[in-house]
Amino acid sequence: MRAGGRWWAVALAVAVVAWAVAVPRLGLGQLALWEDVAIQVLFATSVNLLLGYANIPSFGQAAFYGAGAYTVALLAQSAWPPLAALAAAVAVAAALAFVTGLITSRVTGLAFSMVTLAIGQVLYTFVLQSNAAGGEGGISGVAPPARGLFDLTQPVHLWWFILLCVAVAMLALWWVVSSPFGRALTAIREDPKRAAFLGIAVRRYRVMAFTIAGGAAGLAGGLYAYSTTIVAPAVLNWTQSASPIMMALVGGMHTFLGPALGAVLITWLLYVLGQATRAYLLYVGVVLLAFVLLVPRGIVSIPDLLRRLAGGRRATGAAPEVTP
Amino acid sequence: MPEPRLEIEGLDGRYGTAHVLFGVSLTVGVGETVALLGRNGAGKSTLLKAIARVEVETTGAVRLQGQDLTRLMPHRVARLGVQLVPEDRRVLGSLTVQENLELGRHAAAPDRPAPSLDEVVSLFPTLAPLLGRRGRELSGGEQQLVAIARAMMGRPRLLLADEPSEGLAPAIVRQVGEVLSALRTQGDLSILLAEQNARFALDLCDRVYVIDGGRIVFGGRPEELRGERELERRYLAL
Repeated sequence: MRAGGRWWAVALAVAVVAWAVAVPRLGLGQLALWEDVAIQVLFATSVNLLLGYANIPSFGQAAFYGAGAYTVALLAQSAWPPLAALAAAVAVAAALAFVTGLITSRVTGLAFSMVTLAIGQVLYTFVLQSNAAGGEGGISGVAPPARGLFDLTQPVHLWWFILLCVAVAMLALWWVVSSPFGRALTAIREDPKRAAFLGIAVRRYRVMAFTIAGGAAGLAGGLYAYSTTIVAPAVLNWTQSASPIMMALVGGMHTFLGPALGAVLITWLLYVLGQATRAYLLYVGVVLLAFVLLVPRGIVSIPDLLRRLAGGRRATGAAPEVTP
Repeated sequence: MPEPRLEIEGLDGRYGTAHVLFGVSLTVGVGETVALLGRNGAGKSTLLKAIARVEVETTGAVRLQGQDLTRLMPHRVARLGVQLVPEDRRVLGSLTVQENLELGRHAAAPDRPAPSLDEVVSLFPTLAPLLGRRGRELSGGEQQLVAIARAMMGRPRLLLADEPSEGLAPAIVRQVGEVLSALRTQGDLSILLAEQNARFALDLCDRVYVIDGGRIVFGGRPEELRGERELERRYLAL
């Protein structure tokens, strides 16, 4: 990591720790909001591993998010310790993603997106009909046992636990995208043919990326179960898959922190506007539209855009060129 | 003649319904540099892609040291030691030069361990100050050097270089020629060099083939081709 990058990492870590301490002082409502923000940060980053790094446009990631949520909800009924239940959630979601990745590995483009969407909807319908999964009503009263290092029945402990899990998962995903494997995904995104005759097994790498992203989505889903204490079939629906894609678009794909920033903005906006008006989705839609049209490379490109604007005005007074 | 590394016998190649290679046969020996000359559209790039198993459907035999390549996926061919440096270079624009080079390691194998970055950069000293630069920020000549250097990171047995001089300024062509000359002395590397620029290729090669209309029309030593005025006029525009 370069010197500038190290300073950014230190600043980010300090900000997260400060926020971890500050949020409990804002009240229980804010705790729930920021738990959701942290979970969506992880979910959007996992989706971006596919979309932004490997150009795999999956519309079925809710299946893995939901699989993680249901795994934790079912295991919580047997009083599994949180870490073990979350590990199981990751394993179940990753296994499901691995199978989905294998099934879809020969399909690309729009057909791939449709197949992943269909697989997600099959799982959604299955859970909707399943008595073991609580059917339409889902599973409520998801609560971790009150023991161990963190007493997760305490809201503040639960917040710290979720934030810690998300931070560890984000570091793991950062390691993945910075590794030779991550570079190979970038090569596949930019030029799959070139990647193949460089010796990269394109299909296998795509399945591996799908599995890792699925596992991370499963962890996000498991944390969601603990945070909300209720898991309903809606977590598996395709709308749940669309949300992290929008977050990645708004924050900036092809970058690691972009989707996280998008997740923070959109989750916060949904909360704030949801408190203010019943038509909140309309306003969120307008904000999304504005971002896609005015800042097509996402929040992460805003400093660059401002620099170009300032530089352009100083140099010529002409409008700056904006790279799409 | 050295022991054959690449043997092609009766190779036909098709892009979909278009038949573009007709019964091509040639060999490249261990440590040998062989030029494949021909006009634009003669079938040079198609033949190189057919060897690397990219895009072209083939019938006939392509063997690397006795091993059949015709049923393998492109990444398997690469891992056996065949590296294609394509005509359009295909340097990955969003990655730095160093990251581009390190991607080449994927083609290495336990019996052909990847060289260190320093080892490869010592062969391409021009790249040393460019390691942190993005691929999209490079000139055409720099991209060509990166593409060849990246192929060398996989410690290939056979380098397939598709028109490495194309579109480059004369000074850069000379530089690319010097690099290819230096590579000829690297162990037992074999090179199949497809070129329209006959003068550039004939100075570098041990043997030469001429291809026209998807058929090999000449095979021999460079000095033999230099004596064939009619061949030079018809196929090479010398």
